[in-house]
Amino acid sequence: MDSTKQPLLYHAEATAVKKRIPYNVIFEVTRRCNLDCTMCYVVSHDSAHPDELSTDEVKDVLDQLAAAGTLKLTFSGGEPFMRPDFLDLVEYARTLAFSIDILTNGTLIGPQTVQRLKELAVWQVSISLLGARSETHDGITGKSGSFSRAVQALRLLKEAGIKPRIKTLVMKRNFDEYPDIIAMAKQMGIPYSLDPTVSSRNDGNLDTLDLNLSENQFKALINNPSLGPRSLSFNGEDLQSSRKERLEGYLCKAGISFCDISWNGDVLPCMQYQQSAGNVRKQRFIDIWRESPLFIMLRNARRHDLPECKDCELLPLCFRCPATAFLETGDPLAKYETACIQARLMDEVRVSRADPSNENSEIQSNP
Amino acid sequence: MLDRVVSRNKDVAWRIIENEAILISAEDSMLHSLDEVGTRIWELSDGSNTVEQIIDTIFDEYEVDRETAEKDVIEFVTNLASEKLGLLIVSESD
Repeated sequence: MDSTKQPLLYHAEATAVKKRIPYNVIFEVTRRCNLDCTMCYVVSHDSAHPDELSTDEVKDVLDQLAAAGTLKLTFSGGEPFMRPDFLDLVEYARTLAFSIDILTNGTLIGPQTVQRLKELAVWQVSISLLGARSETHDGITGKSGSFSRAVQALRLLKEAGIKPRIKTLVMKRNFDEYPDIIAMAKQMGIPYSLDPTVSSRNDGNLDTLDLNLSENQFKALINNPSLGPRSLSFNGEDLQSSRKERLEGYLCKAGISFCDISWNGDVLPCMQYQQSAGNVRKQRFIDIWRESPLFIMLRNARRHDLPECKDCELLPLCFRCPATAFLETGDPLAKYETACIQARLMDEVRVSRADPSNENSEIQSNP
Repeated sequence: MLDRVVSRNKDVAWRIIENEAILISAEDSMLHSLDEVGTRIWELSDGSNTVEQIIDTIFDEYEVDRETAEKDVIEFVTNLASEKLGLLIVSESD
């Protein structure tokens, strides 16, 4: 008998991918939020909704996820701490031995909550930081004091020995501050990840796309030699894991080893892919996971079969996302503007790096 | 050792996937995977079995002589319960 110890990422997930086990699930336990971020894809409200899953319903779904083989569970929202029963749900999830990550804006995390999270052995708490200064962060969230509360939460978590992570959506409005956010993260000893893609809203509204980085800003970001492959993420995937999926040919992990459960019980391919594969109030989770036509379609689709993309020479550099394709065009397999632009910019950076006259030519290309 | 009760550290995240236990240590976020027999021992480490009872079960269920089962179970439990790993807890029975 043997126990082997290895880096966290791939071994279990590779088994899950092979066996189609929903190893990694995001559970959006509420759509309520106390902030009003300009770029948020969730059309949220600062009030309860009658369709929100009850405490008992959430617990029942957690039971079903544990039985289905889910190990990595991310609680999200809205703002999950807006639910009065949220810590009870975390406690219940821990009795089922999930590895728990919490995506939060951090504003509702005080010393007592941190103590409770520590007792519950929560694996990670990811806090969205949208600027290095309160004026910028609070300007984006629409709430004065949200920056100082988020930073305070990061400090409390770090001091308590819980693993915090800074997550930053980089867009026009905070582009100038992303180096300062990195400096702040390093000074606090907290890992960070930057995402340069603003998605359309989950009601189909495309108004947020104008917030995306300009082409020059995007190129400057991906060409920043101080950023490692795990510092940048595209559609929730870092460059390293995305490269692996591209080689295997899947569109992404959605329906393969990952899915999302919405606040009203809808089972979605991911947080941004607003097409329900079924609802846990009407069907068992495992039946939806195994049998829904949507998940079967995603499992069978391969990048090299995409009708509009299969012959594109930029496909190896492309971080196309079926959710964004669906939001922007109504077809998860269609090509869409944001991905085409980003792939072209990636290629321009790659070419400039290969040019011996370019001072950055020795930098190895990320993609 | 034989009359000690074995239980899983409640801070460990774990799941059994295709007869293989996958454990994530809360202490260092490292992933551990157990082979088939190790996974069976992990299942049995629910706070209701002593080391001796686990040895009996492994002896019954696998083609192994009693001496080897005892040696391997004790070695496995001791390793996972070590201060370095802290995945199992070995305690006096009530």
